[in-house]
Amino acid sequence: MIKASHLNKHYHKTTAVNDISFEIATNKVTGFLGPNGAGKSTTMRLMLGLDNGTGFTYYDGKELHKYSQPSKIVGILLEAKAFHPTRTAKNHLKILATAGNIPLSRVDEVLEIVGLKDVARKSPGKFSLGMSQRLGIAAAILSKPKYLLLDEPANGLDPEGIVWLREFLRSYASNGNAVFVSSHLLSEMSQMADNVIVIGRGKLIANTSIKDLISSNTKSSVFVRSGNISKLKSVLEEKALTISVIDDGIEIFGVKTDEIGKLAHNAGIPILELTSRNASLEDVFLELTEGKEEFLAHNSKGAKS
Amino acid sequence: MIAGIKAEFRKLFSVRSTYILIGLALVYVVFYNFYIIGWRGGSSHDLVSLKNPLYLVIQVARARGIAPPILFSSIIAVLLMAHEYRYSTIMYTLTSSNSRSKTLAAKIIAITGFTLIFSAFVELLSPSLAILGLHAHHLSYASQTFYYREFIWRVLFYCWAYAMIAILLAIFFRNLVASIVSLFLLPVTVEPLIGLLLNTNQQQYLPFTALSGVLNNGLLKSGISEIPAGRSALVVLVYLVIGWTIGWMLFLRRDAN
Repeated sequence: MIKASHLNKHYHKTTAVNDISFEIATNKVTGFLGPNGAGKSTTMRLMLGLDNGTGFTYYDGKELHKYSQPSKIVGILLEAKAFHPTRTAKNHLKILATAGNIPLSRVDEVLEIVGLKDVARKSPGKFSLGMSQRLGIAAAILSKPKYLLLDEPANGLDPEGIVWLREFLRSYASNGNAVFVSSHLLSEMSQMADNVIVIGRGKLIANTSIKDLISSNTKSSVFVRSGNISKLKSVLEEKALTISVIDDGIEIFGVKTDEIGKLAHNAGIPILELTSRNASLEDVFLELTEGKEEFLAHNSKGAKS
Repeated sequence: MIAGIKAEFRKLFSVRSTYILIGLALVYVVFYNFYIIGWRGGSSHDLVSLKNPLYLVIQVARARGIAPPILFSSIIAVLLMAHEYRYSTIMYTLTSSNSRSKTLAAKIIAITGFTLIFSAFVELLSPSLAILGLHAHHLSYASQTFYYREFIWRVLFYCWAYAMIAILLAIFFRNLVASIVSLFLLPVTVEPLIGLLLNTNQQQYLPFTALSGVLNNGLLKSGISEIPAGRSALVVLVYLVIGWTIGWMLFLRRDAN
């Protein structure tokens, strides 16, 4: 397990990371979400000791610098293009293997895993973003570490690459490892991650499972169609529920299907359709991070969007 | 630590720029020693020079012969450090080791090893090329007196100190262009400007002047009262200790970007 405790980072008068604590469980993929400038990358760098802030991060109860070979504990991908552009992909990995006391034969294995074997002897300076990400993932898994910290690894990957990454990370985590991955691709995250940590303006907003996060969202609703809409509407209004009449049905917020079913049955109202409508991760994310964005775009009329 | 040193050597010899800079340095060594000192010196029939038993030591060891190739090898040292920041590979380097001090020590050891081997090679090659250039005219120098111990320590110290200054600049600036520009500008513009405020004797205690003194002092009749080469080396060491104390602290404390 990774345990981050009271992480803080200040740049002059700006607080990049504000007293964040969380745990990352093994056998799971944990997503890390937040708007641009929320402090995701800084948090990851603090966890690795790359940035000097305050707080501690424990990997199986020990700080990273207490291990003789930290690269065998945690594999990282913090920037897609973190390589010398004219040093071949293979040499780039050989250097990392040498520094980490990892057999050089592992270099060919990881190049095969990420699908870069054919370009192993090419300079990565002209690699596409997707290929660079694959090289970064190869570097991260080189030592078969128990923990992976990946910052936006899906950026630039084509659809096939994204599917591969999702399956690879889920499989990697299921082997007793933990994967901590940040991403802006919320739909992808909802399929990839088991748990999610959300931060905004350097503060922890949520730390829960994807399922709980979505079901607890206020935008989750129940849609019901009935042969007697007007009667059903008055019953729901009597209970002071938040409703919205849509076409031939009613959407009720903040309740579960069971409750609506019982209410309709007790009132003798026939039900034609009763559906639970969960918010998407995107809905939840936007609700949670509302007002916590560092950078906001404006529409053509100057309103924030 | 050993793994870190091996990795630094791999970094050094897995990029094109290392080979290009070594090549350029060797081109200069051949041009200066074979052509300028040997061939052209021989064609001028300067019998006084040919009979001077210290001629080769003076020509080869003086700053004009050694400084340019060593500047190239110092750029290699700058690149080894500055590329880490430019291409963000510093995050891999730092997470490979459990101590930033070990990481920095590995870099210093690798650069020291490379610089000493390279400068020893240049030191060996230079007089040989000069002799070959002169032999092309069917001439030869009078028996040359090489104060080997003196000759070797001066050149090796000069080259090592220059490389240490180069890495130090890269640590201070963490920027490739700024590091290389300062490596060129400090000895030829900044230090001479400071020197204008000092008298001739005091100027010898400025870092790059002292470093040149390690090579030149006692070899040429300069007309000024020169401090011995050993004292020049001591002056350079003091500057290095002060600079590296600050540089080391910065490397430990600053964010890795």
